[in-house]
Amino acid sequence: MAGVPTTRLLPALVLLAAVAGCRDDVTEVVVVLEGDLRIPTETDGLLVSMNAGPAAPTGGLGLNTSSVISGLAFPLSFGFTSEGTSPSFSITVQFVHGLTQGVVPTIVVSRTITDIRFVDQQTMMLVVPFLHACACMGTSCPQPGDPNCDSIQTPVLKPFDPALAPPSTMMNQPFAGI
Amino acid sequence: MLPASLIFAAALVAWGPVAPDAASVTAPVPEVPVPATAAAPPALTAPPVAKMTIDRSAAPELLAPSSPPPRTPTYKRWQFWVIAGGALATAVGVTIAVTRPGPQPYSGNVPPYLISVH
Repeated sequence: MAGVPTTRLLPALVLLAAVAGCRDDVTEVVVVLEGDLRIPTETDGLLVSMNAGPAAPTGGLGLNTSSVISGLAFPLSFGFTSEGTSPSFSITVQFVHGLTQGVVPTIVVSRTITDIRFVDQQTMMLVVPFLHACACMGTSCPQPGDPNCDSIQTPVLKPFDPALAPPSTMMNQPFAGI
Repeated sequence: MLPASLIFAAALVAWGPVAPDAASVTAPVPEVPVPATAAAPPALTAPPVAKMTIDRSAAPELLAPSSPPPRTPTYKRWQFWVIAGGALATAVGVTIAVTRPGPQPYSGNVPPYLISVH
C-alpha cells in the first residue's frame, strides 16, 4: 500500500468533504435587553410586537406577546431565526408596569427597532438598553434626541457573545412564527 | 441521501484508467537495414543439419503454446481494498453527516423566546 498514489484517493476525500460541509449553520439574531429598571417595582411586564420586514410593527399585524417578568432580572433575551423568506424583521419592545395587578398596564419604556437584518448562517446579537432615564412620565415619553432612548433603524449587529447573553431557559424550538 | 451513482463515479475515478490488453499491444518492429546488393552473393547450400528430422515426442513442453500466468484474485489486489475502503469511509461519513444534530439556535430566557421569521 505504500505505493498507492494519493491522487487516487482524492475523489473520495473531496466527496467526504462535500458531504461534511453541506449542513447550514443557524441564521439568527439574538436580542438582548439590558437596563437599569427595577424589577418588579418599576416594571413587571414585557410586551413585544414583531413584524417581518423593515416596517415597524402595528397593532394588527405581526405577532404580539406579553409576559410577566417579576421573577427575572436584566439582561433579558430572545431570538429570531430566519426561514430565508424575509431578510429582516422589526420589533417594538415595551416594559410596562401593572401587568400583574389586573389593571391596564402603563408603559415605562418603549423602543422600536426596525429593519434588523439577518446575516446568512451566522448568529448575531443586538443589545438594546432600556434605561430609567428613558422612562415615560405619565403619558409623556422622552423627546427624540437621546440615542439610548430613540428608536433604531437598521442597527449594527455584533457577533453573538454568550458572555453577554443570558443562558437559554427554553427548549430550542420556535415558539411561534411571523 | 447521496446518489449511489455519485459514489460509483468516485470509485471509477479512484480506480484509474484500465491497462491496455497485452495481446493487443504490438511492439514496434525495428527496421532492419537492408544491405546494399552491389554484388550477387554466392549461392549458398543448405547445411546438412537442416535436413535432420525433429522428434516432437522428445520434449513436447517446448513445442506446446505457453499458457498465460494465473490471474490474481480481485480480493488480493490493492486497488480492490482502496475502493472498498473508500466506499466504506464514504458511507460512514455520509451516515455521520446526515444523522448528527445540527447547530441549535439560541432561545433566550424570556417570552417570546424563539421566533421564526418567515
